Amino acid sequence: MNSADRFCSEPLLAFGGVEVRIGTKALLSDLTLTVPRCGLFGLVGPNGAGKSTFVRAALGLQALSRGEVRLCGRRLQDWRPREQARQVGYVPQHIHSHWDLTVRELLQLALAPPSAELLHDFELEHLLARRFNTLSGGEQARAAIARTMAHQPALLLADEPAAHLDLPHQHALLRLLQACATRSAVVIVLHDLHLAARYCDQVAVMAQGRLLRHGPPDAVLDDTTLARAYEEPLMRIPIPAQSFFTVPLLETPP
Amino acid sequence: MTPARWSLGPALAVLAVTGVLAFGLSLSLGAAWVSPARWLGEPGLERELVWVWRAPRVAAAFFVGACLSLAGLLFQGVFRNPLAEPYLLGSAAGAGLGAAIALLLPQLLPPAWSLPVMAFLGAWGASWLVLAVGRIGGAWQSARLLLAGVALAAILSALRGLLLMVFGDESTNLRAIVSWQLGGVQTPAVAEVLGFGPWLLLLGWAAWRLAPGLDALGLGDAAAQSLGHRVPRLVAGAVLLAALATALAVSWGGLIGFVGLIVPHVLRWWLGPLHGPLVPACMVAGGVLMVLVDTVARSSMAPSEIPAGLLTAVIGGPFFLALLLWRQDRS
Repeated sequence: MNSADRFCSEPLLAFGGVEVRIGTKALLSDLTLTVPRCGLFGLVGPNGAGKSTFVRAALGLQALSRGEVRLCGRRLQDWRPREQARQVGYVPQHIHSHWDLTVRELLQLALAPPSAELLHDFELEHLLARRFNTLSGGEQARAAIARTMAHQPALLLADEPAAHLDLPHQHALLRLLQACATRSAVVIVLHDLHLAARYCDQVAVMAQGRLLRHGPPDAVLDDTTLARAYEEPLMRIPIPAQSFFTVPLLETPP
Repeated sequence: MTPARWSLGPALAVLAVTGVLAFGLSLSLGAAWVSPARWLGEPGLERELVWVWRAPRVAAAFFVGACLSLAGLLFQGVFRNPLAEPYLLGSAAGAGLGAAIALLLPQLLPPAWSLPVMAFLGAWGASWLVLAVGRIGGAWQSARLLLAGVALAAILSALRGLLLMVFGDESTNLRAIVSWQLGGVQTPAVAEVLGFGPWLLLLGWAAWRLAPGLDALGLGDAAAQSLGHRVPRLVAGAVLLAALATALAVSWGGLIGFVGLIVPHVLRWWLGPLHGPLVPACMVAGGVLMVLVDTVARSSMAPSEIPAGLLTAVIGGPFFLALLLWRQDRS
């Protein structure tokens, strides 16, 4: 459940007036946002909202047209790649290895050897000899996040890691990330508003490259903000003592 | 479950034993059989024949095989495609064109240096061209990369043919050039072999330093960057090394295909896909394979020689197909 009091006050990641343009198209416009030092931070919004561009910019992979991104108060371009890698872990949207790696070999690519505790927490002990590309989506996500978390980075960026998982695995993954977020800041791109409301400590709603609102999910994910983001009327169906489901209010066909 | 993979130590031990046997066999076999007892024993004509003529040739074959395998491994790592190898990507064809220019127009550069330098420029230029086409639009397109490589290889081979037609005559040892195109290890002087050794070690060391980056690249550009690797610098370094290795192999062995494809493949099945162990293992295995191929090339129809490039294609092709089928059955 949400626990805003788990948040530390000092920002870990700070976007200041960031603009990203490709030709005439603005992927991010005047984006100012801070991510606290710990907690689960959800990025939600429709396709093309700029969520993945945000993640790329936070990794330093996206050239900025204007503004700056700071990590621990230091401009991203002032970090040496190795130093930055120690601070920031990344789990891509499509988790795939071009080579036929076993899980053990995948974990060898981590910046630090994974501890026995980590392998236990991520339920990987029995998967070490398996080929990574033949694992189920949930197992792959667990292995990929474990590789990223092995050296305990200050920030984990996860771009839609729950996108291809079934319902139980989505919740299991979010619980795992929630546990990681007790020690690190975890920024996760999500399409499922229910997951965002249920697990995230803070949520940022984006649309057309702009930040519409950000804050605790209960305060941010209201009808007006969601309708503005998705340009469609939405209805929230409350789930007692948990969060809510969101469904579009589709017009009845004639 | 995946079949258990060997670690580097035992694999290198097996390769070293095979290498010693291959070297021994290669020194003994040739136009005339010289038993190990003779070339290890009292000084004499046969001993001199082996150490002055055969030994440098065997060493050169080892170097050529090691360079080709290393180039194949690096290209496969950078392009993230198991089909990548110097031949398919136009790199060898580029080296071939450069070397042909050097052989046909010796007045352009001092002859001693022109062949490796022109071969390197050709290999490097061709690799970059393929890489640039493959990255159009900012994202890797594996299929486009390979198609670009195949097309470039065809263009460069045609240009080489054209050069031969225009500039080649008996006075420019056309026969030697054609024979070189079919692939065949040269017999260098002992001093040349000794000069080549440190280069090979340097290449191997540099490639080994790139190994963690190549491993990370297998997870995607962004993942590699997030692991602290500067991807453009990594790619540039690996392409430079691969082009250098291709040029050295082409300078000493002509155009020899398949070694750069087969050796990294087989070793990846044997040792796993991490590049750290693969770099030394590929170099040793590629070298040993080439020593064996060259032995067959110069001894099976002695005193004539079969071009090594033909042998690698005729033996390597079916062998590779058989391996593919065998693995398909097992999986």
